[in-house]
Amino acid sequence: MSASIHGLPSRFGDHDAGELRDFCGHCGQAPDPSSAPVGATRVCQHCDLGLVLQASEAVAPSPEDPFLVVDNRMAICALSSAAEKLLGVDETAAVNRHLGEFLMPADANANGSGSLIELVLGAAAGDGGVERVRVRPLGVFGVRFSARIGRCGPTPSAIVVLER
Amino acid sequence: MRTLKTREAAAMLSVSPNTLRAWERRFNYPRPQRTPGQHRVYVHAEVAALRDALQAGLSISSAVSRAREALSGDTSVLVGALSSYELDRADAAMEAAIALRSVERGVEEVLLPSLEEIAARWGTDSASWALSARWADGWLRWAHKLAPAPTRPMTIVIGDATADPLEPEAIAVRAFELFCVRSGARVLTLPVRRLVDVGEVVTAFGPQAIVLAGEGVGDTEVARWAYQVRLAVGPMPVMLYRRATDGDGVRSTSALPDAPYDAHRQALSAAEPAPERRTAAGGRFTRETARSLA
Ligand SMILES: [Zn+2]
Repeated sequence: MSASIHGLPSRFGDHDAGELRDFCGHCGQAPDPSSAPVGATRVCQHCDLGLVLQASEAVAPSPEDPFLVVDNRMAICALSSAAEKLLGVDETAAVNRHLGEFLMPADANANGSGSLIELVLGAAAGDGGVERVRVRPLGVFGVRFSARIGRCGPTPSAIVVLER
Repeated sequence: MRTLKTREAAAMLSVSPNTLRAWERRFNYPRPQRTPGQHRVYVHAEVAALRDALQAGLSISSAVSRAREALSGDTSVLVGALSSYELDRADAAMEAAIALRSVERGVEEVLLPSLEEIAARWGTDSASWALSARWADGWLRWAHKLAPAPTRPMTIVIGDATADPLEPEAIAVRAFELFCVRSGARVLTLPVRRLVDVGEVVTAFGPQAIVLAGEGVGDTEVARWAYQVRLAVGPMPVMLYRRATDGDGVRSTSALPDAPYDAHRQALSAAEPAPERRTAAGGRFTRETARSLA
C-alpha cells in the first residue's frame, strides 16, 4: 500500500511498480516531510499552483521533468510547469483537451498509432507497471522524447513523463 | 448571497490568503468582488464549488474548470426556460442564480450568456429573441428599481445611442447602467436623439462623466448631443461603451471594455471626483473632443 509521505488515501490500491511517491502536479516537487500535512485540498506548499499527486517510484517525475496527467477520456488534467514550457501551452489552456492535440507517437510504424493511446488508457484504467513509448509534440518534426507512462492518482489517471 | 472575507475563503480551501491571490492571477478564480472599501469578498458558492472540485481534482486548473461547470448549470436552465417561452421559470432561474452569486455575476455569467445562446440559436431577428430580450430588459429594469439609493457623490450621464431596446447592445447597456447604480453612483440615461433642453436636464444632475453607449445612432447625431452636454456642464471624462471606435485618437483611447462589470469599474474610476484625474478609460472631454466627434 501507499508509503506516501503525507499518507494520502491511496484510491488506486496496490501497485506493482513499487512504492507510491507524492509529487506536485505543477512543480513536481515532493511535499516537505517537515511541513504540516497538506490539507484536504492537497495544494502544494512549494508553488501553491499544483495539487499533490501520487505515482509509483518507477514512473513518478523528478522536479525538472515535463509531464502530463491524463484521464480515461484522454483529456489533459494537469500539465507540469516544465511541460508548459516544452509544449508552449499553459495548463489553464490545455486542461480538458485531448492528449492527441499535444503529443503523437514518434514511430508510427514501430509502435502503431494506437499504442500511445492504448498505453495511456490502460494506465488510467489501473494497469500496473511502467510502459515506454517514443513520442513527439504535435506538428513538430525532429524532436522526440521517450515517454514513460504509468498510473497516477489519487483519482485514477495516467501520467506521461517526457524524458529528454 | 453569502460572501466570505479573504481569510474565511482561504480557510475553507485550506490555503493561505496569498495562495488565493495567486490563484486569482493565474486562474482568474475564485474571482473576488470589492467592497466599497476595496476589500476582497468571495462568493461562498464559488469557493464551495472549488473546494468540492479540488477533492478529486488532479490540478487546480481542472478543479477550476469543474467548479465553473457546476455553477454554469443555471445558464442551461435559463436558456431552456426562455426557449420554451416559460418566463416565470426564467425569473426563477435568475433568482436561483443570484442566490449563489452577486447580481453582477448573475447577469454576466447567466443572463447575458443565456441571451447569447438564444441569439445564436434563433438569430436576433426572431420572435424568440424578442421575447427573451424583452424579458431580460424587464429583469434588468426590475433589479435597477431595487438598487439602493446613491451613496457616491457621483453622477454618470449615459447617452443612449442604441437604436432598439431589444438589440443585444441595448441589453448590455442596461446591465452596465444597473452595475453603476448598484455601485452607488447616480446614473442619468438619456436618448441621444432628444436634443431639446438636454443641457438643462444634465446641468440639474451635475455629472462627473459621460458614457456614449451603443452604436445604433450615427456619429453626427451623437456628436451633436455630446456637444450640447459639454456646453452645459463643461469638460469631463467621456467614454464609449459598446460603440465602435473609428480610428480617431480621442475615441480610441476612451473605449470601455465590452463586459459590463469591467466597463462599470472603469467608468466609476474615471468619474471619481479628482480634479486632474485622467485614466486609460476616460479621455478628458474638451472642446476638441466635441469637435472631433462633430
Ligand atoms: Zn508545486
